[in-house]
Formats: sequence, C-alpha cells, structure tokens
Amino acid sequence: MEDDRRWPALYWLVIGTLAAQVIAYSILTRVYQ
Amino acid sequence: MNPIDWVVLIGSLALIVGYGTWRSRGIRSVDTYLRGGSERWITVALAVMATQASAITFLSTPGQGYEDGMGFVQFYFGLPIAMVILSATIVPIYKKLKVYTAYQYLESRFDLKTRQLTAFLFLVQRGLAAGLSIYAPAIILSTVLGWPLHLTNLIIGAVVVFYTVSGGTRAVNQTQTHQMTVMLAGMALAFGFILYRLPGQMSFGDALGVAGALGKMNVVDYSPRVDTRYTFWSGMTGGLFVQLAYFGTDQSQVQRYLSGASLTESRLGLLFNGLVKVPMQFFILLLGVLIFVFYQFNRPPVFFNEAELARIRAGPQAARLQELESEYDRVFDEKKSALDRFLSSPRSSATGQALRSAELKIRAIRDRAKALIASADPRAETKDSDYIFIQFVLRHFPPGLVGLLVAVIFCAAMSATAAALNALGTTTVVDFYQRSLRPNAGNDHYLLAAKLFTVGWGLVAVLFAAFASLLDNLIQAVNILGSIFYGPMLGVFLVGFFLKRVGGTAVFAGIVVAQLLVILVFVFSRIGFLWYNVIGCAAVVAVSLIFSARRPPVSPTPSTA
Repeated sequence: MEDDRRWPALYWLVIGTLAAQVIAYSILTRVYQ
Repeated sequence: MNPIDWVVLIGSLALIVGYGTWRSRGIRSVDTYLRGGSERWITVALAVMATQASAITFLSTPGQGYEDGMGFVQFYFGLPIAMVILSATIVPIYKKLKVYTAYQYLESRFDLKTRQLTAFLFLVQRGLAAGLSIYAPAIILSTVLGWPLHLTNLIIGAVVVFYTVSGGTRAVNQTQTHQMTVMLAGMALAFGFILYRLPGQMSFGDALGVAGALGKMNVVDYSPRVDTRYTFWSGMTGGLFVQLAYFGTDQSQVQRYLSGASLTESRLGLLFNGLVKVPMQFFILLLGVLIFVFYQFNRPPVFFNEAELARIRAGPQAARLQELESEYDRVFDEKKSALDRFLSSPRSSATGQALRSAELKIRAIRDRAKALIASADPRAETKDSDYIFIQFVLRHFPPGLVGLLVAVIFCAAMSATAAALNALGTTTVVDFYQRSLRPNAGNDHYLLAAKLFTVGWGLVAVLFAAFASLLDNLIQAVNILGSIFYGPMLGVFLVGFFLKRVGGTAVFAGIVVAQLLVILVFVFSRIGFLWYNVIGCAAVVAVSLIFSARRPPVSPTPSTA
C-alpha cells in the first residue's frame, strides 16, 4: 500500500469527515443559539 | 479518596508501567532503543494522541467548556488537514531517509548548522515544557487532595524516568497505548455519569437548550474578528500552522510516528488521529458544558479552588466572604426560578433573557469572590477553571470512578512527559553527541549515552517542576515559548521541502531573523499567540528567499548521520 493510489481516497475521507463535523457543529450552533 | 479509588489508581498505573517495561525489556541495540521501529498503526495512533494529551487537556478543557462554551474546539479544525499534508509530504521523506530525528533531514537538505540550530530550539522549548507537564497536574492534585506537592512531582518524574530510560521509544509507545485507553475509557464513563446525574425530567436536548440559552453552544464562529481567539478562520489558519509545526517538527511527535513498522503504519496512525481528535475535543468540552448545566440545578461553590476559600474563611476577610456567599445563595435561588420558567417555555425570548441576566449576576458575584481572594493574598491564583472538573469528580462521582479519573490525569501527565524525555534524550545523542562530539563510538556506548541523557533531561524536568511554584511568570512564559519557536521551525522545514533553490546559509539567516521578529512581536504587540506561528513561518520563507536571491544556491551536504 506504500505507493498505492488508495491514499488520496483516505486523505479525502479525513477532510470529508472534518467538513461533515463543521457542518454538524454549525447546525448545532444555529439550533441552540 | 476512598480505598477502592487507591486500588484503581495504583493498580492501573502499576499494570501499565509494568507491562510497558516488560514489553520493552532486554533492548541491546541503540537503533531499536531510539527508533522503536515495529509498531502497528493503532499503536502509533494512540501514542500520537497520548503525546498531545497532557494532564492539562483533561483538567483545563472541561473548565474551558464550563466558562466559555464550545468555541475552543475550532482550534483543532486545522489538525485533520495537517495530518493529511504531513502524511503526503514529510512522513515519506523521513521514512526514506531512515532518520531518528526530524532535524537530521535538515542536514541532508541544508547543512549542519541549520540542523543543530533547529534541534537546539527544540531542546530549549521542550526541555522547559517537560517540567511543566509534571508540575501543572501536581499542583492541582496536591491542592484538591492534600498531597505534598514535591512528593507528587517526584513520584510522577521518577516513574516516567524509570520506564523511559529502561525501554526507550518502545516502552514509551507501549505504555502510551494503554494510558490512552484509560484516558478514553475514563472520559467516556465521566460523560455517561454526568448525563445520568442531570435532573430526571431533563432530556439531553433540554440540557443543550439551557447551555445554548446561556451562550455555551457557540461551537462555530464564522466572524472575521481577529480579537476573538477561537473562530473558524483562526482554527483553519493559525490552528493549521500550530498543528503542522507540532506534528511535523517536534521530535516528541515525530518519534512516535517514525516508530511505525512501515510508511503505511505511520501514515495510518496519523490519519486515524486526524479522524478522532476533533470529536474527542468536542466531547471533552461538552463534558464541561454539561457540568455547567448540572450546576444550574445544584449550587456550585462560589470559587472552585476550595483551598483558597478555606484560607479566606480562616482569615480576617471571613465575614466578607460569608456575606458574599449569602448573596450568592439568594441569586442562585432567583436563577433557579428563572430556569424553571425557561424550561416551561424555552422558545420565549423573555424567559431566556431573564435566565441570562440571572447568570450575569452569578458571574458578578464570582468575580467579587476572586477580587476578595486577590486582596487577601496578591499571589493567590484567581483563575479557578482548572479546578472545576476535578472538584466535580471528587464531590459527585462514586468510589472507583474517582480513582479512575485521577488515574486519567496521571496517565496524561506521564505519557506527555515520557514522550518529551524520550525525544530530548534522542535529539541530544543523535544531533549533538554522536554528530559532533563522539562520531565513531560503538553501539553500547551510544546506548548508554542515550540512557544517561534521558536521565539528565528527567532531572532537569523534575528540578524545574520543584522550583516552578516560585516562578509564577516563568510558567506563563513557558506556555508561550512553544508558539515563539514553532513558527520559525516550521518555516525551515517548508523551505526545505518546497523551495529547492534556497541553501543552508540563507535559511539559517531566515531562522535567526524570524526568531528575533517573533520575540519582538511578543514583546511589543498584542497579536494573539496563534498568529506567532504564521508570522515566524512566513518570516523564515521571506528572509530565505531574499538571502538566496543575493547569493548563489549552496549544494546540499549528503550526510544524514
């Protein structure tokens, strides 16, 4: 897996998870403001 | 603490330290001692998390949630991005060059002086911070549990030095895996228990509603204001730079992921950290917010460091404190009625407003209590947020869980200190002793030297912890020190990686100028510390480019020894 093309997919998974959290936290902020 | 708590505390710590020492017994090769070198990704991930999670993470973060709400989580928004950038760029280079320390790369790219100046900056900053990672939890535990401060310092220091010296990097990684498991389990149980202790008729949604009405659910703030410390933008810029600098250039972290058995294991460990770190910080902050909600129904102390309150009660200001506490009781009852009205009609803006104004009165009385403590003793610590979580645990948690939570704090203190001592010993041997003082000695000589330097740094840390109480301003200075050095350190690595035509002398000049600039910014401006990293890093890049434009590029030295 050292030079595997699957790495970019994993990187996007990490960034996508962050983006999903930021969206969820923004909704939480809106709802409970 | 109850006898069951002592059994849980001593039992868990002894098992972890004993197992880690046993797993790393009989290491005879200096390569294995310094590198570890055969860890799976999950060990790398837990070790990386345990290195970053100091005791203060668990003591201060819930307190921060209690006082200021959820906004601090934004500081970590840059972390997952930093994990991706490092996995894609610098980690393959470190692995390919088979370096022991991050600074070895700088010699292969620039020259010896750049390597040793950067390693020196690391030693100064981490050497001082190692003492603080022992002292900070010791002062709080000794205050709330009545333990002798110097003995607490000495016990944490001696145990950490024992297993770090005996088993090197592998012992640190193995103990960290179990320390992090205890930390995660302890915090998850604490979270569940606080939910259980909320009033029976109250749902989780109601609790968040109360927290939101009192301004604690400000998780994401998109405002572009620079005077607000934690916003989405500061997390994605300043926070990203802090995490890039910390994980990319701080040997205490680099050594953790370089111990992965392969590039894949190291990368997966970092990416796992990128997935779980933000939610972990979110839940630790939420723990503080839920304690805040709990104290809307149960009267909290007027000041959370009860040792300070006891001093006032025994002194000439006792009557004034009593007066303040009676007023506090009255305002608390008033706030509770406002809370009942809010819960019966949570959507009405009038009930929310009444609750907020009652909370402001509570805050005003707490501020007066702090002023009273400061007037009785100007040296007294009037910031009590670090005591909120531990006081809550001691007052409200059942026997056994108290011991586990104190074990969490010990595990955090020990894991952060062990990683620091391990990295300090390694950098001293590899970047200075072996490189410049004794280049041609044998395996046994360097193994002994690595152990002795680790003991030496352990002594520095314990001595620093012993004298830290005498030097209040020094503690604050050490906290800021990290931010002062990290920016230029990151700048050197970025130049090395992205600006191929810049040579050693230009980047060396860049570090010196950037370091002076950051110190001047610190002394003469009011810019938030998160921005020091950006300024220091940008200054190294700019000065290096200016210098290299004036001089022909210098060819790199091939050695990485």
